Formats: sequence, C-alpha cells, structure tokens
Amino acid sequence: MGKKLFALFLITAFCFHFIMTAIYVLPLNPVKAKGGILINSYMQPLFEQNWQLFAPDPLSNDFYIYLQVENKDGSHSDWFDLSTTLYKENQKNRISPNNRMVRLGPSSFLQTLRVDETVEKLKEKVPEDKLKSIEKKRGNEEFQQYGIDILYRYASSYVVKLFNEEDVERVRVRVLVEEAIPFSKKRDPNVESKKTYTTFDWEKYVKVLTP
Amino acid sequence: MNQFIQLLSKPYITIGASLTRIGFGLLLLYFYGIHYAQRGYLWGPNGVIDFELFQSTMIDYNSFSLYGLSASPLFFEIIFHLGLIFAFLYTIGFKGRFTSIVNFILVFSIHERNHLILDGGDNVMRIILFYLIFAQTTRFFSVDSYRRQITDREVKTSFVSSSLHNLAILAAVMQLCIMYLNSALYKVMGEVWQNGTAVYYTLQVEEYSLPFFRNIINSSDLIIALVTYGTVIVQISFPFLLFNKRTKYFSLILVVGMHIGIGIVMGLFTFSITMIVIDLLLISNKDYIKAFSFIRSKIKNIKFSKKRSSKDEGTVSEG
Repeated sequence: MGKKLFALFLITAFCFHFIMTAIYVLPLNPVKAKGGILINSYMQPLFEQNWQLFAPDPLSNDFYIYLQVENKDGSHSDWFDLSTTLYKENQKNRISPNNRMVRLGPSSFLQTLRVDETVEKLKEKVPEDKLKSIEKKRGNEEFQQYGIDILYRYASSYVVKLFNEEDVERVRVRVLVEEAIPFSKKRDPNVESKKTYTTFDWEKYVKVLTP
Repeated sequence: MNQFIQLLSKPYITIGASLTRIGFGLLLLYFYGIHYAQRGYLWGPNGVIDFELFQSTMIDYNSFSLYGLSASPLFFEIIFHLGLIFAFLYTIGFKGRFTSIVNFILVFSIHERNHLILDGGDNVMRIILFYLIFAQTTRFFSVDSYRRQITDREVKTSFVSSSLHNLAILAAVMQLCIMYLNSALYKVMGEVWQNGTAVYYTLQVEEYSLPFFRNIINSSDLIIALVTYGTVIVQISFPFLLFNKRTKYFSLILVVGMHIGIGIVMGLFTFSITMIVIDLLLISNKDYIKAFSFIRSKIKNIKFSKKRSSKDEGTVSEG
C-alpha cells in the first residue's frame, strides 16, 4: 500500500512537472497567456530554460564593441576595437577562455535591446498607457539598463591595458552591428553588409578588473 | 499497478547514469579550470558584472546565488574553490547524494552570477544535474562503489531509492525530448529555416564560425539546404525514434553526428560534448555490458597479435 501511494505521488509530480515545462517552453498560446504567472513562478529560477536555439531567425549579425576614453585634460582618444582580436583568437584556438569570453560583449549589447515577448504581443491590443504600466511591471527596462551597465564595465575593463589609467576621466562605448549579406546576394562582389552604429553616452570611468 | 510497481523496484540504466556523472564532472572541471585566471573578472565582486546590481536582480527574479551573499573577495575565492573541489568529488563519485546536492547548488550559483557567457548546453546540464540528484550515479566507476567493494557490502536498493532513480532518468530523457522538439518547432516557424538557408546565416557570424568551414559549406547551395532541413528533421524525429530499440540507435547516431558538426564548425564544443554526455543516459546496462566486452575482446586480440608479431620478428632476426 505504501509503495503504491509513493509510486502514485511520484507519477503525479512527474506529470505535473513536465506539463508545466512543456507549456513554459512553447510559443505564447492561450494556456500560457492565462496561466503565465503561475507557470513562471514554478519554473523560475530552478527550471528556467529556453530552446530557441538559432531559431526562429538565427542570429546572423556580427557585433563589434569599441571603446573611447576622455582624459582629464579633456582630450579624446581614438576608438579602440575590442572585438576583432577576440574573434580571431577564438577561431584560432577553441580550447581557451576566449571561447566563452567572446560572448560577453555581444550578450550584454543584446540585453540592452531585449524585447519582452508578452508586451510585444499586446502592443496592438492594449492602449498605450496600460501597455506602459505592464511593461514597467515586467521590469524589462531595468533588465535593459542592467545590460548597459555590464557593457560599460566590459569596455572599462580594457582601460588599464590600452590607456594610461590615471588620466582617464570618462568612457563611452560604441557598438557596430554588421548584418550578414543576404543569401540571394552572396555571390555579388559589389554588395557590402549593412552596418549600424550605436553610440552610448559618456560615463564616469569605474575601475574593473582586467580580463 | 502491481506490474508497474515491479518495474519501478529495479533501477535501470545505472551504468549510463554513472557515465553521465563523470562526463558532467569533467565538463565542470574544465569550466572552472579554463577560466581560473579570469575567475575574478567573470564572477568576482570587482568583475565585469557589478556586485550590487547583481544582488538586486537576484531579488527581482526571486533567484539565489551563493556568490551574492557577500562582496568580500575572500568569500568569493572560498565559494569558487568549493565549486572546483565539489566538481572534482562529483567526478570521482565520492559520497554520491550529498556531493551531488552541494555540487548542484554551486553550479547553479556560478551560472546565476554571470549569465552572459552561458549557452543551451549549460542550461540543460544544470536542469539534468538537478534530476540526477535523485538518481544513483555512483553505482559504477566511483569511489563509493570501490569502497563498497572492499568492505564487501551489498548494494541496498530500497523501493523508494530505485523508483526515484528510474523517474530521474526518465525525467532527463523527457527533458532532452522537450529540448529537441521545442527547438525544432521554433525552427519550423522561422523563414530562413523554411527556405533552407538558415545554415548560411549562422555561418556568417564571426563570433563562432570558422572561415575554413564557412567557405566549404557556402560553396554549395545543396549542402546549405541539406544541412538546414536535415537539422530540423533530426531534431523533430528524435523523441519518436526513441520508442524502438533499433531506431533509437539510428537516432543516437544522427544527433551525435549533428552535435559533432556543431562542435567543430561553430566551435560550440562544450555545448556539443554536454549533449553527447546526456545521450549516454539512453543506453541500457545490457548494451553497455555488450559494448564493454566487445571492446575488451578487441583489446585482447590486439595485445595477442602484437605479442605474436614481436615473437615472429624475434625469430626472423635470429635467423
């Protein structure tokens, strides 16, 4: 009897867990929309997961992070490319810390652009002021801000290596996004990839450990 | 119901569980070890992610990390090195259940401290590490099993322990199925996966792809389309091919092949090895024993023929 009860309990827990997991990972659907908060509070943070690996649209952009500093005398340095060497080194040797560290720059920049799936879906259905309050409740803006902070710290960690640290007053970051050449034009030598620059504001330099 | 109870009473796939434990352990040791010199930069209080901001997001997301408990660099060093030590103990299978719980908490903590450098492999490993807390992972190739041998104690498996083990393994397999099926579903929704060019786009990214393979694969539209559709088909068919023993091995060959490809061409090799290590949970003890004895006999043959050939050489030189 005890065995049966225990087995029954295990099976129930197992089924409950995987029903929750299945709904959690699926695209937004009516069940998920209704039970979203409940499901999220069960799944996060312990079972947090995301399997949109290279899908629906695989990431095909290159991200290059640039750093510029302002010295105490007001002069500005050139823009320093922090990414190209890292990428090249990762291509040369995979068994190195670079294989993961190469993700720091692009990941923090992507975090600054993160879109909230639920807010995105509600965009056309809900009036703007209500949308704003929902957005605020979901904390997406704070999450983006967190990404900007990491991006600055990431760039600042190179100051000691590249500049005379004592002179540095402020730093700013620029991100170049280079889109892949569309498949249909891959053999056209005149087509260049589309480039977009995002330049962030000047911020006071904060010391961060060097990588 | 009685049949079902009987099925639960005997632990299955204990060899696979032990092998996966070792595989995860080695991957974790690599994770801690390769970044040893950058540990302060990646996870420390003065590193790339601001400590106070990190603490406040832990509160916002109701999450937890041992690394968030104190901003002292010494405290950080202690937690990091505990992580390293417990990853080692987990690998060698010392004090099975206790070590697997502590190791899970430490892995979860370091993952939460810096999410930017993680990938899907870390994500699925973390979840399966949790399931494996309930499994018997030190039955084979472990300090625990060695100690049992010398003290000549019988392995005691209560009904609770063996049923928990079986469901933990089943949970890991379920997780794998959900992962592949879900990933395939999102791919089918994407335009470039539909028109068979997705692989071209993923290969354009400098962050991971190698120019050498990029040029080979890009030279042929046929390869691009085949690899694109092939990936979706391999992923979508995975759960359904598991039901039959023969198709299971066919599917294992396909997914392992896919992961080796991703590992080499895109350089996401820890992700690939993680997935292959999880696949070790799909093979039954009977098949492992068959495979081991096959390998053993092969090795014996080689040794034997070597001995013979060295003898032959001896006689020739004498003559």
